[in-house]
Amino acid sequence: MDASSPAPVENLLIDAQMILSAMGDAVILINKDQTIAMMNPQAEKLLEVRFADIQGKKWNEVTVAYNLNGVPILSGERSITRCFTTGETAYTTVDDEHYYKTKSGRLFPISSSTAPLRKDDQIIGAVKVFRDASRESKYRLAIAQQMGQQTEDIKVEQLKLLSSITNLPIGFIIADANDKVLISNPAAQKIMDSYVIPDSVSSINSALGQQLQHMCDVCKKDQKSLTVKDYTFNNKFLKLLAAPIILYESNGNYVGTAMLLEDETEQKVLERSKDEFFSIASHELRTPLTAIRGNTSMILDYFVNELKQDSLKEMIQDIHESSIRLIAMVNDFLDLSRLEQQKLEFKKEFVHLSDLANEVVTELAPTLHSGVTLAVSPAGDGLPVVKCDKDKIKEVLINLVGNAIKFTEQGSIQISFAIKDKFVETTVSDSGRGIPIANQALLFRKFQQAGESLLTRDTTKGTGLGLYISKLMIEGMGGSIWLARSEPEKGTAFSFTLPTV
Amino acid sequence: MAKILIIEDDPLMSRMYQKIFSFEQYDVDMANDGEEGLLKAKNLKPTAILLDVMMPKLNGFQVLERLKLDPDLKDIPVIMLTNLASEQDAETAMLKGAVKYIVKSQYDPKEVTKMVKEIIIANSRDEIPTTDVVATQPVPAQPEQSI
Repeated sequence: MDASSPAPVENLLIDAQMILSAMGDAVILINKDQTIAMMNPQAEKLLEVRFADIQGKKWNEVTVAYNLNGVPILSGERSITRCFTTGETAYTTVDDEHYYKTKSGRLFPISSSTAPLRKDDQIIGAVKVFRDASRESKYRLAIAQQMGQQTEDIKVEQLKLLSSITNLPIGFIIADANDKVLISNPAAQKIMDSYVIPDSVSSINSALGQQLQHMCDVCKKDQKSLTVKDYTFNNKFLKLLAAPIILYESNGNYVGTAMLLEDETEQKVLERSKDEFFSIASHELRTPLTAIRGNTSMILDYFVNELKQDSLKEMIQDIHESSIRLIAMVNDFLDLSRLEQQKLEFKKEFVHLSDLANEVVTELAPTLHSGVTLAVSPAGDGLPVVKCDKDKIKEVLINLVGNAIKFTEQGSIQISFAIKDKFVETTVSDSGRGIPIANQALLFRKFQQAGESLLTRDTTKGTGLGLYISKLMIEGMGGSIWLARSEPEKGTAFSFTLPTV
Repeated sequence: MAKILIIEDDPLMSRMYQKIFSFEQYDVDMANDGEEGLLKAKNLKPTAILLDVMMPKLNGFQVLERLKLDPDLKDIPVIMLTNLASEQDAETAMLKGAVKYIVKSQYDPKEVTKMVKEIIIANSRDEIPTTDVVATQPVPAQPEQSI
């Protein structure tokens, strides 16, 4: 065909037929009386009809359209009617959710356009183009579902957050940049002794309000959070925390302040009563014991000539001795409760162990059984200092050496040292009675003595807390303590380590 | 003669320390609470003050603070004598200007007098301690050199 010569009209028509047949969309030509004039194969396929069977039938009768709820759409509302009535193209989109039902009962969503065909300004029919919108619809549905799910998730999160804030036992307030209160929970109102949600931080009408306002100002100015502890308000102990809310997405703009108000009264009272109990117990028990100890000691010091009978003197001495033992027990119990509550502080000071051992030896030498020697092995120049609490080490040494003295009737007691990596190992060994193997396992337990049973407890040996306390103390300083060896009638050795750094 | 002021509310304790310091030839004065203690400190200008911690009206730490604020009294050595045996209390006392913190139950009364004597000697560089044995109380069985 010559490219320059125009194509014959019939050729064009044939081409149009071809185009229509090949189209993926269904195309239907409808007459003014709504009868079907033509349809392409795609339309036949979608509607499951043959054009030959329905030619001349009315479109509204051939296809029934339904809405989302399965209700047939009235003929007056169908796009073909709208098109003829308005004279304009009527569009049905996926959003309209119109469905066609086929003969086999298949229901599918459609999108369509129905355009009027005019001749001499007269509408003579319409061209309807439609397609199965199942895929679009499914896709949109999926998006909608996802959006719905996300919205739901956000709602749930919001609800969780809100109920968390509401049920938070800690007072929670958020104020905006102008100190207007955006959120406050019931706990905050309770702490403020108020049932009214204040409009702004400055309108919290109390000293607490002023304090919070001040904290907001600091947050605003310094863009740093701050904490105020032990703030007293209406007989309450409060812990206040204010943190600036800064949006880093928008150039680090300060947008408000979050405040936490914690009522620590109960905690404080409990803590204090516990502390007070131990102070009072220690004070109240020790005072009368001190009076017994002091007065008996004064009788023995200043009135010994009046004690004409030896048995009287012995009785006074026994009272004196008993009071000292009782005081030691009270001290043990108090030490123990402080250690167990981790209330006892461990100082970090440089301690020369051999000097300390010599001090202990000097103090305890008078209590040795006659003939027993007590000595510190020469430590040598290389013995490093340990970084521990001197008084506590001394207590442990007194306990170990004291035990050794009690159970050693002949021979010697020795304190020696060895360097073990980053630790100094101290050993207290004696040539005394030794500990029966059966009792060795429980030595470091509370109230354990190396005796056979409760009835044979040797009450002159104290409370049975000494080694347990020693263990807690040594462990508190980062060392360990153990029974190095013990053989009945041959002697015992205890060792403990202490860190040098 | 060295003058000791004992500020102590518990009669068991105050009687005991009054006796031992008298036996040891000190001039002893007693105060039963913190307020009385401050008043007596001002009037008597003692050589040393023994101060209890737990007391009604003013506690020992409060008394100590006020003593150290008074220019007339701040040089008097204050020995805290207590049965509160927490290290923290001892530290507090030393920081507030006490010269010693003695836990009563840990010592026989005579040991306390020895410690006080050492403190007085260390503190009185201008004065040479004088012997002044006047036996007004029962004669000590083992007389110590007193100051």
